[in-house]
Amino acid sequence: MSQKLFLVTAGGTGMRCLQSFINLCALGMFPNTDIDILLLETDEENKDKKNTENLIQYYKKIQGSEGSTKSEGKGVGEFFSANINLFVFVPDYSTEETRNFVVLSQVERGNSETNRMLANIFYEEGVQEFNLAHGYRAQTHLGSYLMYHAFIDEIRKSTASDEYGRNSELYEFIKHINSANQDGAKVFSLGSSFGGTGASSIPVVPRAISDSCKIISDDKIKMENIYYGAVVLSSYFNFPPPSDAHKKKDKIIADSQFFQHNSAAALMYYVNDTTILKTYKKLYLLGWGDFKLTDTQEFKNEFAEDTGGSTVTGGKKQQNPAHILELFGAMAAKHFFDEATTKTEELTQISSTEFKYKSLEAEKSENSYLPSVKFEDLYSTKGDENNKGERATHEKIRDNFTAFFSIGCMLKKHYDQDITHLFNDLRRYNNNYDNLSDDQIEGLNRFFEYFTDIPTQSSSDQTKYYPGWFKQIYKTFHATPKGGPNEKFFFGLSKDSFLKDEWWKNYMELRGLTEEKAKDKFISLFKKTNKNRKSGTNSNFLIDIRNTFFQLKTYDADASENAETTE
Amino acid sequence: MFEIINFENYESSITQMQMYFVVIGLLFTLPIILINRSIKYGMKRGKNRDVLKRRIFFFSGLIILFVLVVLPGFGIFGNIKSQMAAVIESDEDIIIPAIDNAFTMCLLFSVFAYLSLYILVAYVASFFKQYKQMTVFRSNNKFFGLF
Repeated sequence: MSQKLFLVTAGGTGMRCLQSFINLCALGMFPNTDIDILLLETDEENKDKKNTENLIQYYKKIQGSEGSTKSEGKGVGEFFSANINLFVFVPDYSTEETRNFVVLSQVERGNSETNRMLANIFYEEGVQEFNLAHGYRAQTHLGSYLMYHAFIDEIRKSTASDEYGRNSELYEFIKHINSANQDGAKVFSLGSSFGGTGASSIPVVPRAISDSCKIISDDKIKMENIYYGAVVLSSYFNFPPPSDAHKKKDKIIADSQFFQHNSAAALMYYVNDTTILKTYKKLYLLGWGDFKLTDTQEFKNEFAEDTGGSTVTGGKKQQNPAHILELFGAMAAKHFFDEATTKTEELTQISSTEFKYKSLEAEKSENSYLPSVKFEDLYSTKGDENNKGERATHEKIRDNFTAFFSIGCMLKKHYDQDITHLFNDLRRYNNNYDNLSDDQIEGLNRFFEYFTDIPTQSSSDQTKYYPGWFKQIYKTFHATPKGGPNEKFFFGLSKDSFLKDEWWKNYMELRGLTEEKAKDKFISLFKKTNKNRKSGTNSNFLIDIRNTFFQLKTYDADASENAETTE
Repeated sequence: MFEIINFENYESSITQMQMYFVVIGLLFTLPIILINRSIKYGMKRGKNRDVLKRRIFFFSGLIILFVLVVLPGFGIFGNIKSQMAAVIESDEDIIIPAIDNAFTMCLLFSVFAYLSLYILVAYVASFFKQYKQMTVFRSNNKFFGLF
């Protein structure tokens, strides 16, 4: 039986790292793998949470009854070849008994004066009384305690009542981990060190899971076959500070100018705390250093209807643009999960947490540094040098990324983001993909929209677009919402592919051609690569189109520049 | 083009004439093949017309060939018949009707040559995974997109 993989994501940053992770699953980074994902959030209405759930819904729709695309590749495989199962746990802080720390901890019960004095040692009055419905608001010290309590409380209730247990997704998730104990399981957490829920949850997740498993198994379980890893993100974005009036109204409110301090404090805890050092095998620490931080409000002003006003603490409006650090966070999960980079035997030898870091090349520019990123920065394996003749892992990742992005741009540029029009064209040329359900078609349309450009409602006739996930990463990389980094800085991909959806410019054979010639050549290549098909499924289509793109050589601006320099 | 025709050799002359119509049919195919090869595959939201254009060119070529062959007086057949008549030495009352009777076969030969070469090129090209010519006959996994 193959090893089970488990992912725990917490808070807003955790949600966005999870979105990156789902995109990696769609991109074929986890071929033929079963992954159980636990989504921890305290803010039920958080927009990032809704977006993440929607994304997973589209992913499952695309797979349909066929399930995940069968893939022969190891390390990197076919699109949508991972099987993901989502479990959501949102502690209920909406009731009278749970709305804030004071009522939840029953401070007023029994000897209330002593209880209050004890609580005051740990938490200020404002912290004890703020409404928990929108999350922990960067109050990590409170959040850790509450998250652990919520975890254990949920498991106890599920164990006591079969009906409650049947409806509890957290209980189901813990049972899966419990079952995986025999064969071994890797559990990876995603979160930030500067926010609320994520920063609160990461330190307590292993303990909460272990104690929950003990409750379920009546203390008979041994947890040595469960290996924990985590990525911890330091601050990488900012937003306008709250006004004095807002601070007066909502006493506890997140302020991005303290994020770096919060991160520093959390990291000092992680590197010194013995519980963390004994529990986590690997901790991936990611930050944005001296690079320019993205102003999320500036980004929203550029693209969304929201033109600002009050600082958003959570709820429907908390939706920040994607950032490459989140992609690195998701890739850290791949690094931990893959046996090529993290062997299970090696994990058993680790007695104290190994800390992992990542650096990027950068160029000096005026008052700051401009980072540059290549696909080999995302992921590479030591064994690649020995695989003569076979493409290196980072090259396969490049191929998959470029192909997937090209499909999204192609759908937007030529087909009004409706894949049925592409199917109509292919059917005309005797490649018929008619064995897809309406749900699969809708899933594909929505997923590729999400990846490249999301149409927004507009009062005028022209459709407006909000940058999709990959374009958000492009625009936030140098914190330039209006444009984006030069080609050589961002994976060597063509700038025109991001700004004008000219997807063909990412391929050497198509770059110099006009749009009409590029389309002609692509279809010719599609016909050359794939047999005529009378009736095809979604898997057939994804495999066929990926194979077509793989016949082309991807363009790398950085390699081209180096080649010119050499000449 | 033709040597002196008399009773002894008029049948071989008629055969030569029929071969000439085969060559005309073959030559007519070539520009159509080149034109259809240059019509690009399309990728767009609305209905793509590239397959329709290739069919139009294919059938237009066929119709033009047919008309040019059968056109009375100035048509290819009429022209060749005049050339042959000019070199008939004797027995005109036997040879000219024989030439007229060969009209149908000449027409069929040229049309058949046109169709055969085009189908052959489309078939051979598909072995080299070039499918543009074949789309004339087969699209939407149906013959002519219909059957």
